Amino acid sequence: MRRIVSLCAALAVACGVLAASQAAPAKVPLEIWGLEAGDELTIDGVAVNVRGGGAARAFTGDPDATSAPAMEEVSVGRHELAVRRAGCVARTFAVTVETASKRAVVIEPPAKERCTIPFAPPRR
Amino acid sequence: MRSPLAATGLGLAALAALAALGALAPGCGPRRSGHGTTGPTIGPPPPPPPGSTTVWGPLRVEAVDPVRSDVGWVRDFVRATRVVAFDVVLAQDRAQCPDAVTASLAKVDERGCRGVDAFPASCKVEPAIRARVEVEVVHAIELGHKCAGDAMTYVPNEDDPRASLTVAGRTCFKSKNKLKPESTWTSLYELTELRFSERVAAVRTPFASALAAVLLAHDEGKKTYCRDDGAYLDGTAGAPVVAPTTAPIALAELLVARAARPPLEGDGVPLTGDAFRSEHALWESCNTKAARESLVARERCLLLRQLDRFLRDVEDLARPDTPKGMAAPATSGGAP
Repeated sequence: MRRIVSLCAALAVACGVLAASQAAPAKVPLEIWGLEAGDELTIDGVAVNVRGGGAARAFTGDPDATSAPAMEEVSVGRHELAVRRAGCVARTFAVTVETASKRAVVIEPPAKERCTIPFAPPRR
Repeated sequence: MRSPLAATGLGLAALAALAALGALAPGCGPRRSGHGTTGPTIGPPPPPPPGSTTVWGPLRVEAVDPVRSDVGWVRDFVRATRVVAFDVVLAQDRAQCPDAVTASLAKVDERGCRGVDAFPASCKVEPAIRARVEVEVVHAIELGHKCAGDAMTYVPNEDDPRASLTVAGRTCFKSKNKLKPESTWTSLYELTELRFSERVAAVRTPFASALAAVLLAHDEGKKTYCRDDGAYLDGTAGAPVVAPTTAPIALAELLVARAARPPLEGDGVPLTGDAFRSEHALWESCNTKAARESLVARERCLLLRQLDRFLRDVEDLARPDTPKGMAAPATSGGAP
């Protein structure tokens, strides 16, 4: 009897693992364009490789493009991105991925003469 | 041969071991770097000398820079958003003025903040304070689908629009090609008609009211001395905190008009307004030089091209001679 119970428990665990793996949210490609060599990017606090050198990788609006300067597979939901560019104030922003189709972010070239201006401080 | 249960047990053990390793190795966490510039900070005003008071001038907008945009579906092939972020550079003068001057010249804005529009020579004026405020403009993109020649639009399922659009597309393809020889079948991308519209749905910024006041009331001579949180640009409290306000949609147009790098809105490709156009015609409009040179058009066209790939897959399903079509379950009706 005990063996049958333990067998059932093991089966339940196995089924649970399988169900969990099937229910796991799909990873969605998040492409980040407009980054330049030397730029640093984090997504949810984790550093993401930024491809540098070579020809400039401009966003073309092609769904097949795989040459984005940075691409990370993320879960559906809201993600915090931080971009650090030499000579500019670091900035953070959020991007929300809502379906299994990829989302593309295009970072504009920095206005060098203004990117060092600080963000408005909190009320004190 | 290893049993499935044993394999599951091993997998669980491996997962547990990985989790334990992760807990024991904090050094393997996110890599951080001090590469970014923290830049200058905005400090509080120095204490004024006896008989003087610190006073602030009106807020003004010095520059508007587009800084990024992002595009993607909210519901696949039905609803999408295109979010454009701007940096608004605000500036404000600060000075120490004799109390008598402050009393005679100071005004109060709608929020209750006191300020002086122009400092007399008796005031000791500091260099202007500059700070950036981010504003996000959310564009809602809506797509309506219908089969060419039909009056009714598809009604995609809210939870699974792909599935219902697949069914509708296959039905359209089969019904429109039913009585034709295969060599004359019309492609689904020509049979699918789209209404591709876009509107500004929201403007997000922590200082909606102040920005609107500075940009919208620019010609009315009204001055604004404080941000929405009742603080001057340097953070010094000037009035009580009030509930945040919703930014007016009109703010988006003003930002685009003031942006340092126009054009932001492109030429409308591939928007159709209230009309329907074939997906094929819209796809062609994305392949023009003008569309390829406009970031906004490229972003909208990304969505269209994703939809185009989807339609080609649906057509493959509807064609019995393709690998996908052969794998699809047989349907009744004898349509091609």
